[in-house]
Amino acid sequence: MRYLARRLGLLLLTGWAALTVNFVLPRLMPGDPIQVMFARFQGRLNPAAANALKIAFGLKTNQSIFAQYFTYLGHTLTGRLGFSLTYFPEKVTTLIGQALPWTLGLVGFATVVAFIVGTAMGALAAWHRGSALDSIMVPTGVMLSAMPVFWIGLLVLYVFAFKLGWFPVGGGATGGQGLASVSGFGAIISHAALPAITLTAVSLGGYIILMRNTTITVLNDDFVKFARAKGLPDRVVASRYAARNAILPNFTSFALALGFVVAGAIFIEYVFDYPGIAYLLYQAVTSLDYPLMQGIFLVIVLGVLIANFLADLLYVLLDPRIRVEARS
Amino acid sequence: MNKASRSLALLASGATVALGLAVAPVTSASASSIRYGGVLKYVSSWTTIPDNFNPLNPAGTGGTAGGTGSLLYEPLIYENVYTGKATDLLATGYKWSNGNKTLTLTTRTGVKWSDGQPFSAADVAFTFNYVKKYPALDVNGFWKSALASVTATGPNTVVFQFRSPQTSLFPQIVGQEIVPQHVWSKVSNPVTFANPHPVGTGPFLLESYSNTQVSYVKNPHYWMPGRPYLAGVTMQAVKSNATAQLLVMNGAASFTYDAITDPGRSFVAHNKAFNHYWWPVTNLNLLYLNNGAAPFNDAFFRKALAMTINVNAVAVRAYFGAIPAASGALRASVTPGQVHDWVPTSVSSLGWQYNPSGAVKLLESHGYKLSGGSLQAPDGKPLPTFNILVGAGWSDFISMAQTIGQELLPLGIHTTVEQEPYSTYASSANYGRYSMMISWGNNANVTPYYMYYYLFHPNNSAPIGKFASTNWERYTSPAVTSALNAYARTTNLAIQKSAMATIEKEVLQNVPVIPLTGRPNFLDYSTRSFVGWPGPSNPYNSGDPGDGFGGGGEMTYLNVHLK
Repeated sequence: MRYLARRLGLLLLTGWAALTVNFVLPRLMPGDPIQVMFARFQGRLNPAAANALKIAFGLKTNQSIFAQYFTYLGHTLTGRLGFSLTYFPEKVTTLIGQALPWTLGLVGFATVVAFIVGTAMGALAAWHRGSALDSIMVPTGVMLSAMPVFWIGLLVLYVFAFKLGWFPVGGGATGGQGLASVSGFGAIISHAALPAITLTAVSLGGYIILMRNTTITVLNDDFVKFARAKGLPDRVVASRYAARNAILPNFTSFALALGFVVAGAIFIEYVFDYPGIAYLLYQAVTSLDYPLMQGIFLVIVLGVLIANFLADLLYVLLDPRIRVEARS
Repeated sequence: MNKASRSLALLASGATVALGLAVAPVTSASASSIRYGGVLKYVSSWTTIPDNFNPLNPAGTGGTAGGTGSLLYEPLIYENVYTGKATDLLATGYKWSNGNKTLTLTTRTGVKWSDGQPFSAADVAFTFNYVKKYPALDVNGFWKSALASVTATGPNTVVFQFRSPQTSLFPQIVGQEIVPQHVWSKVSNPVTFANPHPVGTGPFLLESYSNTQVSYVKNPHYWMPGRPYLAGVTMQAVKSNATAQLLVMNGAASFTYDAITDPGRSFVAHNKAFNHYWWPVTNLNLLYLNNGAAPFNDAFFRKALAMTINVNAVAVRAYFGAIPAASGALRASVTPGQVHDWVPTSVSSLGWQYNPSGAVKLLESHGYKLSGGSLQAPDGKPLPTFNILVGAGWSDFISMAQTIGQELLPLGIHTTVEQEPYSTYASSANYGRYSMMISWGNNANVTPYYMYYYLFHPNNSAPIGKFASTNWERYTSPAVTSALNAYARTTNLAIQKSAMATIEKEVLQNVPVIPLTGRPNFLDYSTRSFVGWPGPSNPYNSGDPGDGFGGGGEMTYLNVHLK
């Protein structure tokens, strides 16, 4: 229980710190959003509009910085993230709500597949180390994980979408963007295929190599030798004894990756014109849409924190040593 | 920078107070030969179209639904920034009286809102007073200016009273889009109101909206006889300018708004019969010199720089010949459409000519010395290396800065190109933290007054280190200020012309900024299915984006028709 309480406390503390940083950072940036907006309009916005914009965006405030901070905390905790400056009067929550499902679907799916397939392949490679399978899988994994993701993305896009025309060139779906219809669902799958394959291919290598290396270490441990000496079948030794112990580091990196699922994959979403949250973040940053940026950072930070918290909880189930510590 | 320039709607349209010639929208074909019907598709790299049909929206970033609100709501008069000509929309005439402190507008009769209610002068008065009630909607600063009251004195008459004469506000006033009183008087928070069921007087009605596509159908009861020709208009948002350009080239869309790099080769050449672009110059790119600090505080020094910079080379390097250099009369910081009416020939030949060796002599006559490839100030110290400030990644400005840097070398002036993101770029300009900077003119309009006002009027100025909204180069002069004030008070065209000529002379002699190239609208279109586009022979608008409001976008949709 103390373990749990400590983790929960840490979650709250880091959450508060992240919120505070999120409040301070935009205020340290040079220039004010109104002037940025004038720069973006490149001489077409009547300079007389400055006053109206300040009032509309809630920038004309007499509050002290501390009062602003507490207002911000209150608003954030009640889910009021304000209005996007780029898409005014669209609410930040609406924009994030539109983009997040795309990213969760695409990046979440790719991360889970990469973890499961990569872990299995790594364990297999370790068990049959030196075999043809091992000597193909490992260099391929290293190569894939070393290649820049946007480069693979462009390559895949060029070959499969542009040259062969098997998949659409970009976007989330054509026509009605809903899961409501069968054709709509099909469109979503065909649009997601290439970015999902690219993402999976790139993150697969890391899992393969990490899993293979830890498994090899574990295989030399006495308890594995003992299990073999007992005459247990290879299948049982490989899965219940070796893999289960070797999976912990892989699991850690999976948990981290899962946290970043909400952050999306900026290069992938950009290359494939994917309407996800990373693309939204890219737009917010290029147009200095502070409220939108803050909202997205908040979602990302919370995603990472919560994923880590859940991973901590799962460790208790996976690792008996932590279970013992947690009970004390 | 293209990303930003394509989507921005003209917030304030232009007008000349005295040149308010009302012309009917002209078409190239006679009415009998025009084919009705067809859905015109405009494609733009908006990415996401805001779900907002509020024409009073203060966040001018396209205001209503990516700017297409100009199909639904109309201003009083559309004024063409390129030609200086006006087209009457909801107003049919106006008169200044009472020493230019009273403006009386006559509104159009027989106009109906799309819900069937009649439009009247009361709606106009309501819109202006509504903007007064909610200062966040007052993007033109009407009620911070000399405007005192707006009242409807009859069904077709609305009277604007000013505390002091301010005729220069006319373009903003007639550019205000008008909303129906019977709908908006019931709206409780108009600043964030998304107006999902728009009721307007415009030529089209909202048909459907999604965040990537918005469609309009013809308004069968539109007041202008025989218009629009089109059965509908669709605006599609895509994620990049390249995609938009591809869609126009393959016929999936008919026009877009984008500064295509080398458009002759990368767009027109793909299909010379269909692909066209019209980029009419409505503003200028200027080299701002920081007049507040040495050595740029000396007029002869600024003039020597101007004599050394070959603006033709700058324009070709930056725009591949698609946009003209700011040479000839344009050196006075005016746009090409203004030269004929506003720049007397006696003035346009004043000032400097391109003459690098003359520039060296000019500097030497003031004690400067060119030694070892570096320019020495009269006190014998070599000049430092100067920054030329541009926005980060703005390829056209970067090319210009590099070209200028090379051309200033023979003068012994060394420069580096400094790229800053929007935020720091804007504040460096506002606070005067730069030596040289490439940027645009602010709020350029039908007469030279508007760009001059924002460039040179003390209202927009402040010393270095203090916030100056648009007087970035920190040049002011009593002669220019009094000419600006004289222009703003009168409706007398002769007085206005002589005031502008005064400023032109000052500008050509003192070189507060160096005009580099034109700055156009970027209309790229295909004549595969639709014709009737604006162009040099038929400039019924200034090549506005299809998502431009203030009437410019609407003019395209009123004139384009099936082939």
